[in-house]
Amino acid sequence: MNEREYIALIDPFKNKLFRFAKRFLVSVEEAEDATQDVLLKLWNLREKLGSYNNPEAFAMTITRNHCLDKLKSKHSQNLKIAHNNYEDHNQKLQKKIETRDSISLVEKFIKTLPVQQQLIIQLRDIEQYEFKEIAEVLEMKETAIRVALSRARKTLKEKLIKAHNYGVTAN
Amino acid sequence: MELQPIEHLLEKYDLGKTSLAEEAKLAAFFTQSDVPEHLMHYKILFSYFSEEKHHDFSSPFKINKRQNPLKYLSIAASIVLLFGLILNYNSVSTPHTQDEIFAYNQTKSALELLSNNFNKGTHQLKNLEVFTNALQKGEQNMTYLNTFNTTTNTIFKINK
Repeated sequence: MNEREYIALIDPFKNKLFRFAKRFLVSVEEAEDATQDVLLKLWNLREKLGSYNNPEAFAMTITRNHCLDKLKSKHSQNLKIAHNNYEDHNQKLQKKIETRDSISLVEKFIKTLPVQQQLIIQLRDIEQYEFKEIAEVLEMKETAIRVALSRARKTLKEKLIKAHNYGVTAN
Repeated sequence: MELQPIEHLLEKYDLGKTSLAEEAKLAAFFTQSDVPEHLMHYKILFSYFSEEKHHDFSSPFKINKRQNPLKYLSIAASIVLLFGLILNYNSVSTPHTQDEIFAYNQTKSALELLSNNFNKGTHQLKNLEVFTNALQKGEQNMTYLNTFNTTTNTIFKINK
């Protein structure tokens, strides 16, 4: 596989890898670095990559493992991970939400979810993966994924209703 | 679109039981403009999902990213070396101030004096050399004396 063929292979899903990495890592820069690393890893595995029947799922799994390693090394450096200590400081601001702002609010709400649920929301609701593919990438059972997804969706719904009601009463 | 099938789908959606096709239907419904007030939170949610899908990876993929970690080190080293040479060269060729020239001349004359005296000293050492030569000759003579001594001793022994 030459460079051009490789780029053609990864092109359809490289953005998905990036967005997936962004769920694990806090900043866009970190996610970009991680994606770059993963693409390099995949380039080194390119001969094997062609033989996978689902290279995309394989690439996602590599991304997941890479990000988990990164988080581990971060832990050892005693750095805090933003999703775990996310706190909502702008209770008052929420009262003024417009639709535009509430979309960015969803991002904040997602970050309050357990990481596993965030990843499932990312893979299902944003990237539209089948449960089978999610199971492969996250190494989980499909039933467990459905349960976690349902919990995540309900939590988001509740938070949004609450935020939206603040918005309505403020008007 | 009628609301009832949508609400039914939303119930399934909340339980994580919708198929991808059904979720696509919901997404299509919520991208339209007039969504009833009591479902606004879903509109927000689905708008976020569709927006998030367009957050792309901007930097182009580079294969040679970190092939040569020593490359930058060697560049840095050569720059340092170059600077070192330039600074050194400059310090040699900078014009001297009068004080520096004076100090230089003073040192030079002092060193000249010192070396002259050294030369005188070596001259004196030549005398010493003559003396050592003489001493060595004397020593040689002493050995003659020694042989003479032993021969006389043997002679004496014979006489006894």
